Amino acid sequence: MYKVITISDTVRVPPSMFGNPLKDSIHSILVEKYEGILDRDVGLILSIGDIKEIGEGKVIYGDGAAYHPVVFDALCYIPELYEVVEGEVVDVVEFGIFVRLGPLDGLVHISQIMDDYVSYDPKNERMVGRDTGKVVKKGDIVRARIIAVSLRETKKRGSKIALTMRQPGLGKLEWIEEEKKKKLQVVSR
Amino acid sequence: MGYTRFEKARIIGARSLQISDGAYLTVDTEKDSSLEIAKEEFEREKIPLIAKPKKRN
Repeated sequence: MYKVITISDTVRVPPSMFGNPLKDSIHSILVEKYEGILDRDVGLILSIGDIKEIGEGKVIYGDGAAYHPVVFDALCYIPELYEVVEGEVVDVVEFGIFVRLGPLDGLVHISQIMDDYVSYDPKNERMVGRDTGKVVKKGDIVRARIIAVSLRETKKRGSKIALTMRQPGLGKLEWIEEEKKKKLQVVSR
Repeated sequence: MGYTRFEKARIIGARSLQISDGAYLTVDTEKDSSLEIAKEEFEREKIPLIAKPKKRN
């Protein structure tokens, strides 16, 4: 889920930036400091928005820089547990498929793709259900639910998001449409 | 400007450090030492800093 959060912090404005407009300087410092940071509570910080407040700068001993208290908005993405997400399949590997949720990728384990025995087809890089014949390949749009989140703050690569597609209303968008049609037929009978 | 000698020292010191760190100058000067420039700025009352005594409760 994307969120806009308000953060208050103290920003160090170095003397070399004194000539420029304060708001621009602080904005670029915040971008440098915050963008791309992964935090356990707020998620991945994508962009710095409005700077709402800039307080009076203070010069402390031993440093010529001005320290301004600031309040600003930031756009974040946090994968929330049990949230339903939609995304493109970006990679198919032996043990499952990777789905792009936006800024982060999630993994659907091979056992969680569908209610069927699923096997990996390395030649065509796709997943095939044995009985249903359903196929998942790169570029498909799927709907899934987040079942586990483990965010590593130090490394972006170390974060793991586990997804499942084995619930009613989840899976490849085409499957969901088919399910809907089937239900309608049952009702009309 | 009714600054005490302590405030004066603090302001010139901080300003001198800023100038040596690349802050823009508020005066035209031939001097090449950051401390001398800071002193000149102080004499001409052009330093963009103010000394605020701490509030005591």
